[in-house]
Amino acid sequence: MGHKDLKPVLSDKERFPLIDDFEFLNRLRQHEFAPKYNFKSGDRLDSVKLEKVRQYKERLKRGNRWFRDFDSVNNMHSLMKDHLEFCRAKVPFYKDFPSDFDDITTISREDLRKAPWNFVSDVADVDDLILYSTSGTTGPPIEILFDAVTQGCYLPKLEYVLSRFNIQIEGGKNRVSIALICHQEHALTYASLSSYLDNAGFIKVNLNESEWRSKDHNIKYLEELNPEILTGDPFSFSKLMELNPNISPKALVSSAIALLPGMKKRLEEFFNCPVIDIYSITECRMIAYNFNDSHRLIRPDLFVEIFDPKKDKVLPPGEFGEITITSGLNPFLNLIRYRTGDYGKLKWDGDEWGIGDFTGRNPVLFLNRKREVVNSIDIAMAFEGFEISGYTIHQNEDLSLKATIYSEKDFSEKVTFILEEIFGELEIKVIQKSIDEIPEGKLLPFTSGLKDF
Amino acid sequence: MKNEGPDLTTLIQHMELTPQEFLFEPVKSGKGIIDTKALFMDTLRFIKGDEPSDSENFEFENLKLNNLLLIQLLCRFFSYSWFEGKKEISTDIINLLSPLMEFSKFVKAQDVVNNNDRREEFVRLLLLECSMRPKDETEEQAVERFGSVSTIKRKDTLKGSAAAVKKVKEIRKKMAEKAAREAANVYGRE
Repeated sequence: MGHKDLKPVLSDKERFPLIDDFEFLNRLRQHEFAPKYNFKSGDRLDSVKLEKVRQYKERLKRGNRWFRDFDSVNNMHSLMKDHLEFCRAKVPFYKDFPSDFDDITTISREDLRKAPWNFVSDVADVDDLILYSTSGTTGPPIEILFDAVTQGCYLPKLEYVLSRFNIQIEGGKNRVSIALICHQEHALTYASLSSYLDNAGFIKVNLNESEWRSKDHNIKYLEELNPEILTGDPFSFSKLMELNPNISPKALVSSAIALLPGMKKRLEEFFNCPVIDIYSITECRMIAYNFNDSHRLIRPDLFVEIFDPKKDKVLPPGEFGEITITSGLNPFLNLIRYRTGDYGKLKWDGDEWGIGDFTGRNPVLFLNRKREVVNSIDIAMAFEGFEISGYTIHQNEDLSLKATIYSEKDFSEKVTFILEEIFGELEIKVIQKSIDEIPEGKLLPFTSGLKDF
Repeated sequence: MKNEGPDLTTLIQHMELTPQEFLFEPVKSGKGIIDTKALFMDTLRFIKGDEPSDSENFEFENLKLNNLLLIQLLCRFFSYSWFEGKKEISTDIINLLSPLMEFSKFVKAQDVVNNNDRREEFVRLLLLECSMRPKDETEEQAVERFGSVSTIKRKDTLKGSAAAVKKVKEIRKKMAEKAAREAANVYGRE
């Protein structure tokens, strides 16, 4: 099911079990400058779940010291052994795994894609299940299973990262604390509230003018609300900068694709606030935040290792390889040595452990016939609904495109049509291959011969 | 299973040749032929080489028929000459009463005598609970081979499998439901 097919189905009471007063929410939705919101969403937290999110906040405060020195990394290792024991007993995928953590081999995205239910623990309550799909920008989209608590724990992680820059989210009624800024052809957009942030507002908006009733409403809405924190990615922040809104966020939090130093500096100067680059993946959410020349690890519940890209050999700190994670925070997705497809090395920066030489999610610049930027998310979403196991799209310096499609059925005609719609009249070559011909290793869907963004 | 016990084949044969008296009706509520408790105490005497202590006083009155018959077969097993005077396993034999109760839920005493696999399973179970392995088997071999004949393990696996299949169905059903797809707030990009 693609994003475009999603329709809201719950009542606001079901979305916000702890909130009775929807006056502010209605104002956000019905504001004269509001976008044409196409979706609805809530935090789905009742009192028990909210308490768990608050407990996680305390755990974050206590736990960051795990990475003070290598002995502490070994200490983390023993916690992960407990996680392994739990998974062997309670999680179908791991039931025949070795009992010694050091004997565990890595798992991949393909393992998740094939049978996501095998990563659900026996003790997880199926009624709590909620579902996300990855965007498809780093590989074929897969369905990720979560619950509201795991999803809600994003906020304590965000607070923790912001606190490292001496920034606090105030929250509270009648204030928008977080705005997620998108800039793409199509996106789910909604206004919401957060019981964790004391009923503060949260909005997800798409700067694309077609999503608003009037051309300048995207700026006016944000200026009226002046959110405390903006989240998004370098593309959307760049577009926002272009629109020149008169807003004063406390921080910008960028993720999904790498924030290059030049863009970071421009954004910081323009918005006059810290711009924090976060390494975060759908499978486990936040992993690390950029601080000087490292991405510092955030969480005591997430064990990060570096593995040899080609074989199941864990590498010591200082050696470059594939980032692999182990985490039990999400009862619906228990991960042990999951290869992320991103690369770096573990390094001690004098105060904390982090990932150095981080290589992942580098922005890929595509241009259409008019030399306007095309967001790779829009391409990924256009392929939703097609039974394609993998694809690559490469743009050459002369703007011509070459696409390779791996699927059982022939989608070459449909893909050509889609690319023509997105890019306009360019030379487009589409090669259809069978799924047996998918090359080994990670299939990078988007590559470009143009200069980096 | 540090200690090596007797040869497996010999023990299995010993059980195959169980005299029919060991399967006579146990005495319960004043009726029956075999006083299971007395037989068990005799077995302890044989193993320990002296009288059982006062603390070793067991009540078998409330046990089910199949359980009592299996205790009688336990006594047959430990009547094998190799076990005479092996005091060190007397506590293990007493402790065997509990797993034997579990065993009795799945295996009929008659099958221990008449069925090859159940006979082997019974022999291996008793050795295992006495921290012994069959002669000329390593610990790993003994454990693995017991696992391959164990009725309880098989039932647990099947039960686990049935439960697992049910859970997968529940999860997949939930995944298909629109409510799950409405998800919850996503505060940042991934």
